Amino acid sequence: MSSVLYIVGGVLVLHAAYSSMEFHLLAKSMHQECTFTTVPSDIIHETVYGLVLIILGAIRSVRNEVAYTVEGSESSEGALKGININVAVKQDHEYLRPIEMKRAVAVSERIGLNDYAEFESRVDFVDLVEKRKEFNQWSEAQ
Amino acid sequence: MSSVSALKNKLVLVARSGTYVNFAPSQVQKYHHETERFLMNSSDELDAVELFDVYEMQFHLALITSHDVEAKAILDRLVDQFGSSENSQRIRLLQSKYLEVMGEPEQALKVLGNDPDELRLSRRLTTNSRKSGNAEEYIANLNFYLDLQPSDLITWAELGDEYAKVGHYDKAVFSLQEILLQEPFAYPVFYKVGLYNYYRFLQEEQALKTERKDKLWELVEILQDARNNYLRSVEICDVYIKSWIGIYLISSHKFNDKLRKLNSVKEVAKFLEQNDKLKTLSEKKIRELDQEAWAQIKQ
Repeated sequence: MSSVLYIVGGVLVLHAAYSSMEFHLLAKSMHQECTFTTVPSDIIHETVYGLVLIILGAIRSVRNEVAYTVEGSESSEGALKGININVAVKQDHEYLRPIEMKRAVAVSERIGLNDYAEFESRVDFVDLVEKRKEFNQWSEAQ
Repeated sequence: MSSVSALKNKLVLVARSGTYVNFAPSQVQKYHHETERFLMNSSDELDAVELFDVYEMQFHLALITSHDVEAKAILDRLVDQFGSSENSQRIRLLQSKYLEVMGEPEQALKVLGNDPDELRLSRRLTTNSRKSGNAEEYIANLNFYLDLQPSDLITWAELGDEYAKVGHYDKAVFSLQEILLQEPFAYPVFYKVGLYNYYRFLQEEQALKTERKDKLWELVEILQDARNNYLRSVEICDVYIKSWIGIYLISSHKFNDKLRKLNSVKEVAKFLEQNDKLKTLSEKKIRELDQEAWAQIKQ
């Protein structure tokens, strides 16, 4: 949605700029007879509308989106039984994250992943042979 | 936002945090399938950096789930994309991991090389001593590496956990505090410092043979440290349920009853009074968070 606003706003501003250039060329060629000194109001309106659309697009682009939790959940109903379902988490604020850290990190916790997860995961130190063994044991038990 | 976009964000987030290596086997399988499907159908949604982060995750998941052909195909694709592996620590690390899992440890070591300036490869090199099952040797290697790279926080975290595994909780706490010097808002690390202090308290309480005041006071100090770290953790993130549980355990521990004998000491009386308040507060908070978690699942 924000990209549509950016495109339409951009086209309007560019069109207004081109119209303004045409107007000035015309004004120059008729320099003696020319009685108007300012840009016509329709060009000014077009510029304002274009800029408003670009600003709306920028505001919309920082909108908080729905995020999926890391863990998800398992369906227990009908044909979908046992199938994993992604669980969506809604943000408390429509735009941007809260300034207070306590509230900002609450969303990460609901998703199930915080900014310090790498201290826990430590991919460079992982014992893949052990993990693989563990997985195979689980797989055989299924 | 479309579900594809939400799924993309989730996979990229998980891939970058590296948290997939700590998943339970069922979750590993789930993520392996999900990522495979996503890469097959929607990889256009990812930019180049995101794509290779997700490929790296899928490489690890394929190795864990014994999809060796798939892991090799991803590795080959990465080598094709980025050319000679000599220039990239990241690719050499993946090659070394692949060889290690395929049962060629000597080749895996050879790929890592011996250059101390190659941080990630040097980290991996320290894990070689872990195979013998000798924790002390592994700890010595980590310490040696940290002498060369003292600001490597990931390695301090690894060292902290290794010390905790062998019961040296005081040294584990010291290692984790090194992280907090550089990351003063890392609330999961505060939680861990609290947890290891609590384990240290349990260890020393078990070994306690007398009920002398000075010995009891030493234990109070350890418990106080544990409680303060848990409290710092919930001060930064008040929905971090693990820390609330830690606070509840400390405030309702039977050791508090033993301490009532020392109630005449001002500091002990204050400690007990704070514990009584925290017990009610933590109980309430745990119930609240539990209800919220259920409500989220039901949605």
